[in-house]
Parts: sequence; C-alpha cells; structure tokens
Amino acid sequence: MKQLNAVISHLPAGEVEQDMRALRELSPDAEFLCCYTGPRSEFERLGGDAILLEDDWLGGAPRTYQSYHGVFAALAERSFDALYLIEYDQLVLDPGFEAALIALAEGTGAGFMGKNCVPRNGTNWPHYARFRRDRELFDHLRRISTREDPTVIFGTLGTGMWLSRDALDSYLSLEAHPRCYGELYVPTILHHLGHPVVDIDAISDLYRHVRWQPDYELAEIASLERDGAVFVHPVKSAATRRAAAAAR
Amino acid sequence: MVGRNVTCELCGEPLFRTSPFVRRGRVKLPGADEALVHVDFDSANVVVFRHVEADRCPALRGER
Repeated sequence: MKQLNAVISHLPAGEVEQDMRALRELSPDAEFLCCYTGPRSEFERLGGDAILLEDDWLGGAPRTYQSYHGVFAALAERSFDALYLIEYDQLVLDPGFEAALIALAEGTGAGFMGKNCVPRNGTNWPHYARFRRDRELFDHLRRISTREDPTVIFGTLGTGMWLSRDALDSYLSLEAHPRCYGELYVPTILHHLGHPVVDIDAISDLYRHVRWQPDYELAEIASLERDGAVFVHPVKSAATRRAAAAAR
Repeated sequence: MVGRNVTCELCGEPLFRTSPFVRRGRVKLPGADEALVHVDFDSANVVVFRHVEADRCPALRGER
C-alpha cells in the first residue's frame, strides 16, 4: 500500500524546510508532501515537494469552520492508496510508522482512522455542542447517509488523520458541503458514506502520546522515543523539534 | 473547585468535580468542561457520565 504523508504547516519557509528534512531523513522511503497554508512569498522559498493552499479553509480561528475540502481537493490528482495527514507539530519518532498504520488499517478494514475517533453524540465535546441542532448539517447527512441512523456525529483530533483512497474519493465525490468543522465533519461524513471509521486508541498504543495539549518538552520526547513511542504531539517549539531530530 | 467528584460509570475514575445547580431551566455543571465526557440517564432522575477517550479509560479499551 502506497501512503502519501501530507504535512500541514504555516511556518516560515526555513522552519518548514527543517521539519520536512527531519521527516525525510527519519524515513527515506516514505513520501512526504508539505501542504503549505502560509503566505505565498514564503511558499515560493520552499524546495522539495510542496503545495500551496490559499483558500484559507484551514486557516480559520479555532472553533470556527475550518475544513479539509481544500487540502483533499489539492491532493486528488496524486497517486496513492492511503493519505496520512499530520500537522507540523506532530513528531514522527519511528521510521516504521507507515507500516504500523497500514497494519492497523488492514486489520480493521478502516476507511478512516484517527485519534479518539468515536461518536460524539451525547457528549460535551464543544464542536458537537455547536452543531447538534445544525439543520444544514443534518439535512446533508440525511441526504447522503448509507447508515441506519443518519444523526451519528463523530469527532477526532485534527492531526493524524488516515484515509484510504476510496474514502478520499468518496469525500471528493460530494458536490457540496454544509458549513461545518473538519474534526467533526471528516469522520462523520466518511462514516455516513459507508466507510469503517476506526478509533486508533481503542485498538492500539500508536497514539498514546498524541494529545491535544499541552506541548511536549525535549526530555519527555527523548524518554518516549527510548521507550518506543511512534508519534508525539504537540511539539510547537521549533527549537524542541530541531533538538529532538538532532538527538537521533 | 467546590463540590464532589463525578466518576466514569465504566472505569470508576474521577472525571470532574462539580456542584450542579439549575439556572434558566437548565442544569449547570461547573467543572464538567474540564473533561471530555458522555452523559446519559441511568434512571428517571440520575444521570451518569463516562469517558469518551479510550486512552483515558481502561474499560473502553477492553481492559476492565
């Protein structure tokens, strides 16, 4: 299975170059692509494989209407069997990360996998609370759902989303989307389109050190790497990311 | 935070600490926003909570 690893970043070109170099040095056989959401002037300074996302769908403030429509559409013409989408602050520590993800996907038949990717109905997740009476969203789900219950709402963490090619193509086949929020919309829509949606935490330790917050410090990262951690998130400090890569 | 611990109905671990009250026809749970939780009625006048995230709840991972 050929996996494309797409890294979303808005950072200055120099920092992006260093982040991408670290990934490529860790896992030379893996394919990494930068999906750049920063200014065009910085994008033009980037070398290597990168695409510019200028639509601002991912650039909105937290808890607004960030979406993945633009990044998915921009990747549509690329050749791959699976898409792994991470944010710049998710560190990959183990060069075997692709094989680990693919093994999980093949073992579960997943069309989508994510961190804490479970139904959120009846929870206090702020994005569920925001959209639980959203007529436009539920009308959309009723129109397209292949499931018995078209009101099921999933949620996941925005970094570390894994999609099969079939799932991505299904998403892209939709002509229109309601205004929503990506961490809710992507797993929800793929569930209703009939793809198995899998919570990585329920079946493995792969995302044990992937969390929303707080930031990881260098000493923690080194310790986790020694203990075999595959991923760590978040590491927003560029200095920490550089030091972690140098320590390898 | 004043109040008492609310625990996960599956694993028994504390979820948040609260002292509920009613305001404008709604039950308010100060402190509940400290955790990501699922809520349900267990009987006619008792609500129960549980973890949402499997990495925080052994029961959701099938370990308990």
